[in-house]
Amino acid sequence: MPTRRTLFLTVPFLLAGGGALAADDAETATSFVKQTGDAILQVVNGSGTEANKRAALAQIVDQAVDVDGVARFALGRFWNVATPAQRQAYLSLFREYLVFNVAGRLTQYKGAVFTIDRAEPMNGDIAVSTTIRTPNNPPTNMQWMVSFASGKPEIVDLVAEGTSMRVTQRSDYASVITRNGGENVQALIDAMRAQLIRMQGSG
Amino acid sequence: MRPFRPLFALVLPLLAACATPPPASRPEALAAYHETNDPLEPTNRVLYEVSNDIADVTLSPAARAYRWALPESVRNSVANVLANLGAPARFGNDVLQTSSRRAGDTLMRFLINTTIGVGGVFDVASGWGYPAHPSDFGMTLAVWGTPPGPYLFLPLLGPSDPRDTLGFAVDTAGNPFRALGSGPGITVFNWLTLGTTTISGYAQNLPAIDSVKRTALDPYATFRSLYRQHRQAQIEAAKTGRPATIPVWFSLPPTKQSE
Repeated sequence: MPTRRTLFLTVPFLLAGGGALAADDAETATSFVKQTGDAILQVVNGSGTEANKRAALAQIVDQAVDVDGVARFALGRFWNVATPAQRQAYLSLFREYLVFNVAGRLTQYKGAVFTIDRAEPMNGDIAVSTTIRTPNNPPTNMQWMVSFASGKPEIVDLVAEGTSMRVTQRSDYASVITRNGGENVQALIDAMRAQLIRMQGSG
Repeated sequence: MRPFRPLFALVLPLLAACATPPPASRPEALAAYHETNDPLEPTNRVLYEVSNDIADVTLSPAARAYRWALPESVRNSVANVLANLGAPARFGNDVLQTSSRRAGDTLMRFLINTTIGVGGVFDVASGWGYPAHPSDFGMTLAVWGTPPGPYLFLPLLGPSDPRDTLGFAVDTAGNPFRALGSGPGITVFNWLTLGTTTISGYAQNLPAIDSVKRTALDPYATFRSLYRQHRQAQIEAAKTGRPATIPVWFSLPPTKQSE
């Protein structure tokens, strides 16, 4: 039976252990972001056809991003009203949209370099702050939110100049759903499908 | 009375339109409605559309021409000069926010960039450890505890809220360069600054604006969310006194990590 004395002795150790764990996570998250960023830039700045680059980026996205987790966050409370078929359709459209969006920035990030500024715990995840410098724009600050919920590091959000990608996405989707009759998830799926076709059409 | 009809048709919905909140029987929807905090949404959307149509034929082409005509280095210099001209007003707001470190940054930036930076053309101070930060009266009000109020989309000015609208009015009225007098030279100078600030600022944001319009399903809602988050981040930074990017030499306050 733990006495007051043993408790008194153990608690600081537990706290210290937790701190060490967070520091480890911060280190892992930093090298993970460095790896992922380098991999993206290598594709962006490398030779190869547009199609090859897109395929390579899709692979990086699948490996490094918790795509389904981000998608569920972006759908918010409407995940619960969506039918299984709608969820399926939504998740696959979201992934396609994400890959297309990353690939769409191929030219934008041409010649970019990025530096890692710091990593710190934030709301259960690790926020890794980076500065991205591209030839034709002022430097931008981007935070990569890295989650360890699945056991391995995964990107769950990108925060650029204080704006979160998944929060913005959720506002966009919620607006489409509520403006089309309250809880119309199908309207969102239709709009996403139309949007993808339009974006793919304009290259 | 005929010619007035189109105008009347435009103005009437502006005055009358208000969003209907969802019924109390749907608490989640009601909570979301309050979180969005955009009771004037129908009016705001009309103003958004009209502003967009106007910008498409005025500001956008001007900003595109500006980007096309001038290389990035020149555009940066113009932005630097304009930012430097805004330093006295920013300093005043830093002081009102009782943020001594940020006020010090602004003062040092103004002194260094005006002299060594040749009238603000070169931003020498950033490299010397005095980073730039935004500061305006809307932020000052926020630091003082004023809530933002409902979302507003203002013609020509874009996304705002009552707090930022008041802030903008105070910043405009309190522009230190107005205190220089009211001669024609000052008037021309003030209009030139305003015009260049508008074009330069829009040109800087153009790629981001284009990207939102291309990728968002509902650009209006997306801009609303982006504006709120961006503003919130700026205000947080002003409250904590922590810049968005921390220079290497600046020691961090202890975080959970080191506890």
